[in-house]
Amino acid sequence: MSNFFINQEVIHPDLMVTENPDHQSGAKSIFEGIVRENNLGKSVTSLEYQCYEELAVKEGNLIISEALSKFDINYAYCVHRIGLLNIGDTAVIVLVYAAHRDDSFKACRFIIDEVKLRVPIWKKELYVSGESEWLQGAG
Amino acid sequence: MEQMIQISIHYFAGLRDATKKDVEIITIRKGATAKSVYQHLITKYDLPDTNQYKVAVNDSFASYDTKIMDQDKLVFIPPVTGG
Repeated sequence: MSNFFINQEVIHPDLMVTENPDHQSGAKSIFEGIVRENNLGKSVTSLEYQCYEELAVKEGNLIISEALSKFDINYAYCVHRIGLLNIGDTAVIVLVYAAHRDDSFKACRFIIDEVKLRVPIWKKELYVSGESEWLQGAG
Repeated sequence: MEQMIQISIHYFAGLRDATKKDVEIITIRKGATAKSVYQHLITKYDLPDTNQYKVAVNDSFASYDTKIMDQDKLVFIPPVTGG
C-alpha cells in the first residue's frame, strides 16, 4: 500500500484522510508547505515542480516506512504536488496520526526533512523579472 | 567487433533544459558504467562535471560503478529541491 503520492491537481489537507483511522490515535500532526512570494531577495510569481515519479514514489514510501519504524505512530501520509503552482498554493502535505503528540510532531518533522533531502523532485522559481531558475540543493 | 547495447536516459530539471530532451536512446559499448555514460554526456551536452548528482538505474538508486546492461534506464539526479 502506498502512503506517498504525487499529484498534478490541487492538494489540501481536507482532501487527505482526515478521519481518525482506528480511534487509537490521540494526536494528528499536519505539515503543509506553501508557495511563498519571495526567495533570497527575489520576487517569485510561481513555482514549477518536476518529478522523477517512479523513484519519488519508491523513496517517499521508504521514508514513510522508516518513520513508522522509528517513531511510535499509527499512520503517516505524504502528498507532493507537481506542475505549475501559484503563490499560496500548497506544494506538500505530511499527515501523521499517533497515540501522543510527541511522536506525532517528531515523525511529521522527520518525514518532511527526509522528503526534501531524498525524493527526486525539483523546484524552478519563476520571477517577476521574467527570469527563472532551478533551485540548487535543499531549498 | 565491439559489442554495443542500447539504453535510455531520462532527463529532469536543469539536465532537461541543458539537453533539451525528456528522454533519449543512445548506443554505447557493452561494459560501460554509469560514470562513463555521464562522461559521454558531459562532452555531448557540455554538462557540469560534478560529483553532486546521484544516479538511478532502472528506477533504483545505484553506484556510478554500476555496469550498464542492454535496455537499462538511466537517470542522473541533480540535487533535489522538493518541499
